[in-house]
Amino acid sequence: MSKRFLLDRRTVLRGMLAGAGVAVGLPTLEAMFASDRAAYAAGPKVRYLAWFFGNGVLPDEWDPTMEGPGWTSPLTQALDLDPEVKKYVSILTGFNSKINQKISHHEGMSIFNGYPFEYESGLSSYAGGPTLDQVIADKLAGQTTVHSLQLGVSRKLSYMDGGTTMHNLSHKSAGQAGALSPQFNPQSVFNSLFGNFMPEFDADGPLRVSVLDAVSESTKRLEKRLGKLDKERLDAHLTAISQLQTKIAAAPPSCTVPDPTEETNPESGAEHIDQTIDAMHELIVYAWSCDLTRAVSLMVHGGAAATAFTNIGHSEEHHMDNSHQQLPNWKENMRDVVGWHMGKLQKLLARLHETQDGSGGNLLDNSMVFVASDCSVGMTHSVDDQPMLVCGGGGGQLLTPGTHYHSTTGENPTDVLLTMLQCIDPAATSVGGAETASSTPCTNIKKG
Amino acid sequence: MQRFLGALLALSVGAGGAACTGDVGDPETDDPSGPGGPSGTSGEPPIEELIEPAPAGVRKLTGPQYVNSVRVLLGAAAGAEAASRVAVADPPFDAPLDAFDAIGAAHLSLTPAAVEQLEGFARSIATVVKNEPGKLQSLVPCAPTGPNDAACHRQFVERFGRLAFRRPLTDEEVTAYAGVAQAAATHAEIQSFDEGTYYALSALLQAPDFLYIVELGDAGGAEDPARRRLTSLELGTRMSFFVLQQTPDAATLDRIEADGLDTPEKVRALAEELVARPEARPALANHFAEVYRLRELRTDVSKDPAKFPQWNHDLAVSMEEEMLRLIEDVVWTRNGDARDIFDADYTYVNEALASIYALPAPDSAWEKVQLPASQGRGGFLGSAAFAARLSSGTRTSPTRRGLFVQTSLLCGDIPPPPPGVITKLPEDDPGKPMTLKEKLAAHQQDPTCANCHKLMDPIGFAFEKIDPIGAFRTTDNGQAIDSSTSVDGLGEFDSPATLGAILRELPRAQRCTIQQLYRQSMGHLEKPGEGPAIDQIEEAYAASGYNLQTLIVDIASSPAFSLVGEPK
Repeated sequence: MSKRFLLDRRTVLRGMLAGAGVAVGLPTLEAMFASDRAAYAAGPKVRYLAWFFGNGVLPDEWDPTMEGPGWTSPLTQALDLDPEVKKYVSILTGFNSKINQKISHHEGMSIFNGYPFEYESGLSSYAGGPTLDQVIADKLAGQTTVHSLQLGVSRKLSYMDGGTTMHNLSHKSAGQAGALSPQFNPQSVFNSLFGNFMPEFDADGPLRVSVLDAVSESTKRLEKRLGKLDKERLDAHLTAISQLQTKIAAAPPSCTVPDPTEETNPESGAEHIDQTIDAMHELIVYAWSCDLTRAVSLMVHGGAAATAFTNIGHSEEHHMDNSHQQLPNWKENMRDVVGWHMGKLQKLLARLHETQDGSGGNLLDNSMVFVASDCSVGMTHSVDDQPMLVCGGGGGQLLTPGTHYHSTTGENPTDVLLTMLQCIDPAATSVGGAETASSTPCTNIKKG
Repeated sequence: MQRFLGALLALSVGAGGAACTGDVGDPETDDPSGPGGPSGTSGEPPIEELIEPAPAGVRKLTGPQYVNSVRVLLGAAAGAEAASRVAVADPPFDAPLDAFDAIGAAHLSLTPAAVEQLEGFARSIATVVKNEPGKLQSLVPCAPTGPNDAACHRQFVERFGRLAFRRPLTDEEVTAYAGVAQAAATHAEIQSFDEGTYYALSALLQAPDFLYIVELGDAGGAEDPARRRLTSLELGTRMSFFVLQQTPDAATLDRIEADGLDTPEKVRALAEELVARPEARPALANHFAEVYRLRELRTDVSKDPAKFPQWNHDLAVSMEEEMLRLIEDVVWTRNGDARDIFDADYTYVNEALASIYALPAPDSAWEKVQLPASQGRGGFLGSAAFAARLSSGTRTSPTRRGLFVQTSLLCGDIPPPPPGVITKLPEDDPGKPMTLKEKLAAHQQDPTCANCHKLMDPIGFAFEKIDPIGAFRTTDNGQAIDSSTSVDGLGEFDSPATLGAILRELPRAQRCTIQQLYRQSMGHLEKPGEGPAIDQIEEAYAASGYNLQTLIVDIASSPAFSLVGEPK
């Protein structure tokens, strides 16, 4: 990595040179793009993070008994560490997925896009439509140098499931060609976010762009001869080339850049779960404070995954042994695992809270972290009362202090996605499709 | 998404989430062949006319194909660079669909992060080439007169581009990539012909024509657009990527261009030549490492260190190697009956594996040994690799083991559990300990579970004497294990060895071996319309005495391998 530090002439990266790695977001001194200025004028830049953990909770201990602000529950008590941060968290209970087809775990992923999955066979399916992070990223296209980020922590995804639903939290469109596989290695995410601002020499950037022009022309020539599915795949390739060209050509952001992370989350051996989630969270904080992207998804551990939380002393696979209640102490283990997730979430929210945002306020004021799982109860794969948290101020549009809203009528969880989308795109009128679609936002978490 | 029914039709376990009724492996329903059946019978149209070819399209190279192709094109150092990059690719280079990376490569999209990564790979590989003395220059078939020798850069692009794209480049393409070279070479900060070559090389290595295998056929010449013949170069490329997992080398391309692959005899001759090359061996090993999930041992399997202190990375890697040595022996050394892989009474051990199998330590690093008959082991089914991959970190899993046999060795499909079903097993009662088999009896008693679990758990019961790391045991939870079991369509058995003997004689198991190789070869699940071609291959496979080398040649020579339908 030392080569990167030779570029001290690029004064904009002085944060790195100072070895800062400190959570100080600097104000945006100059706008990178014209659209950036427009966005600045229009108000805060609202960010969205889909934060997923698999295999459900213990609903009795997750759902608060008290409604309204000041809520608390046994399984979420790690969030209570800092009341100033907790103020940004709303919990939604009593929502029931409207999805018709159920094949275990897959139906629960609909909570991130509001579409029923496309079924293939056995335990194989594909997403039925774009996930909210991609809807938002497309809406904000051109306003940041990076369209969106897809991140993952535990690599041990489902052994049993095929298709793309259970292995990807983000989908840019329906079907197999729409899946966006996550990155699991914090170091490669760091390089991808910040590496392009440190070219080997000045001419290299423009030459890379010209190389990509040639590749792009070849891709277009090939695309003309293809059918529908392959056209969609090569379109994705073309879009990616264009996004890479944007990154290469972009001026470095005026912000503090973190120290390069050492964590690589290796594939073999015991998983680096703690180190990896911490590193990924830091990268999200910096990606947001540098306004490199505003749409991120983080799959902490997958639904039906083979993850064993060895970091908290569990040698068993959480999915089979705890959520499917195979171990005598499964309940205690469920508490440990969900509690660990909430502890990590709390740390992320606190980091966002302490980081100033160039567009005003702190990052937590201007974010929406949507936390959900693929089922409420692992043993039955129930999609009634799936756990849902909405964290952050949504650019001043979401209720603070947060509230516990309990639906007594089993409202559609997609309503919550629409509420969040409208914080970024006030003109949005619906999210999702088919029986899981919503055109009725959940107003109970929104400021009046 | 088109629903591929081949696998389901091969089974009578129900389709599309229907309840699991019917027997497993009823021989009467084994055969999904369309009208006509195997060819060669007088009066019937040739197979070629009976099949409906799978769609035309493009497939991204898989990780091994990418690495091997870089090695073929640019030599060992560049290949090593590609290998080291692909090994830690993030996002991972390959994502499987329907259990195959090759199917994922034909249907999934590259993400922005993946495309950026491929650009980085292309640049780092080109850098290795640039830094290897004389290497970059060896790719240029002319002596450049200076940085602005555009004609010489054109010659480089024509020559290397043809190898990378597996076809001659169009003039437009040569102009574009030579333009990249010249822009760099004549840049004020650069002024170097070689630097220009470097940039053009990095461009060609990330061009879609290199990264995707293009199999579109000759639409212009086809009378029926749903039945196109691959061009000779496309077919030769498909064969090379299947049999050797690599791009055709210059000699192969020259020969295909000179002679064509326009007769069945020429196609078969090339297939036979390819299968005789040394690269065919790791290519087939790679197939089995995927289908038998051997490669996952080193990455996806972990064991509770308190219960299994012997488990470590080296042991996991040894388990994979053991199976690859067995397959190497059966297929290449002995050129024998591939069904031995199901039930061979011998295996290969190193010291760590000998300890797992309760055998004396070998005299050399690896030794061929007879398996102890008393443990009921045989072939892959009785291996530590099978047992360890298909267990959790703490316990065996008859369900997973049975599911694997049903789906990966018999090519069946198990519907998902019905909604709302309680998946809990009885908890341990300290006063009345039960074996896992006894607990799983719950699956058999509850009718909502039993329909499907009867297809899985009872198969897995036969493996209960092999523990989660592959060691032999006779008790579970302090109780004696009864591994006897009975499964509709398979019969009665009580060990991996006895199940292996059954699979050896089961036509559906042999057909599944074919199906798996066929799926990987072209990157799609076989469609019903391809049934007649698979029937023909199946007949030939039996006639060869289940010879895998012959099977590879028969798949590559099949009419289904050289025809494509309309682009997908």
